[in-house]
Amino acid sequence: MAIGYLITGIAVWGFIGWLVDRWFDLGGVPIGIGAIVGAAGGVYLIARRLGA
Amino acid sequence: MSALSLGSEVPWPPSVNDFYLPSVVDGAYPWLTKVTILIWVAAAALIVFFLVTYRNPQLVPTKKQWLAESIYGFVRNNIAKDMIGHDGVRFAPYLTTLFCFVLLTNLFGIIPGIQMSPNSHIAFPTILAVISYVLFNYVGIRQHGFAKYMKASLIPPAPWYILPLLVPIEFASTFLFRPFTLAVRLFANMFAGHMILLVFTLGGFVMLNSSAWLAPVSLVSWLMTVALTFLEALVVILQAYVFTVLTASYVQGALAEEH
Amino acid sequence: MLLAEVTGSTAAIGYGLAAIGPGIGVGLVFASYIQSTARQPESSRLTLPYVWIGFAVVEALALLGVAFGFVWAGN
Repeated sequence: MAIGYLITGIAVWGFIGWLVDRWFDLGGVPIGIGAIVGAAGGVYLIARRLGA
Repeated sequence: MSALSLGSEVPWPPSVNDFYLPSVVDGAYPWLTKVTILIWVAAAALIVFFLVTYRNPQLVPTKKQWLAESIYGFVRNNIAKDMIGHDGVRFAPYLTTLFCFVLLTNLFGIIPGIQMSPNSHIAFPTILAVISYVLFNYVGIRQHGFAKYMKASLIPPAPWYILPLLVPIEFASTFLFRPFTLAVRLFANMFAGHMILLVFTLGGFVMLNSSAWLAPVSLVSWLMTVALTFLEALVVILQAYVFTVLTASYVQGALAEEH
Repeated sequence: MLLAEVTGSTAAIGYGLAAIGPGIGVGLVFASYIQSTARQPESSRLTLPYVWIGFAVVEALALLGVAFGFVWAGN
């Protein structure tokens, strides 16, 4: 459950980053940014749903 | 000797093609393979079993009635009521059917002489997962109405400025990955289980054929097959249970007032 | 001068190295939870939210390692 949010976050925002990368041809940098953003979102969701 | 002659044409290594069994009747592929026949057998066996055991219920249950009642009672009390709460009794018949069907089709993977689980083909777990997916969404929409259900499942409690970040994650995890993981978990377990049994059974024949030094080791390999069959029995029951429990927990999430 | 040559994906080696940190981290998180619960059993409910937050933050690093391994495997 906790892992699910993290994987989903990284996958979704990594995918969005990949689309941006395909569009502007930036050499994979947007994928990395997307993955980090998604991981942050996943951590936030876990903190909200499972945490206090 | 028969083992030796059989061993000379052992298909090694086992591959995905070993799961595509030939048609029983010529030209009927893929409608009359062992796998599709097993699905019909499972459905028929469950219908007959529950009809026979529940047709004439006694106050003091007979053995068969006791078996059927304890399966239903287990799913009703330990899965439906525990996960969903008092409302869960409404879903107990579906959950019991799901549990029995998955358990029986999984068991086909380890019953000697059959040893082929239909669930090791992704198509069958997919259909089961789609049914559960439609069920929990339908239940949630009927309980809350479409807009409120979507709001409850998509919008987490968070300030508005991070919502654009979180809503895609919630959407993907609830509506895209749930049925996917449900189907893949069952499929992968059954596929891997069948593959492991193939490796040790066929590996025994391969070692028997290879050299005089390795031939005795094939006995170890076949003993491992027996041991792993018992391990598979555990996996089979666990996966049927997990599939049912997850379906129940998704229904519970759809019914809940506030997430 | 060529001393040693590595063929195949070096991203796999990189991920192996990257997974050490999160591995230790997740271990520490749960070890501390078990220890604190053993010392003070009533506190188990109280500390569980922090366990999940800490676990999520640490595990995110390991998962980012998987993602980056694929993203920049080619370069």
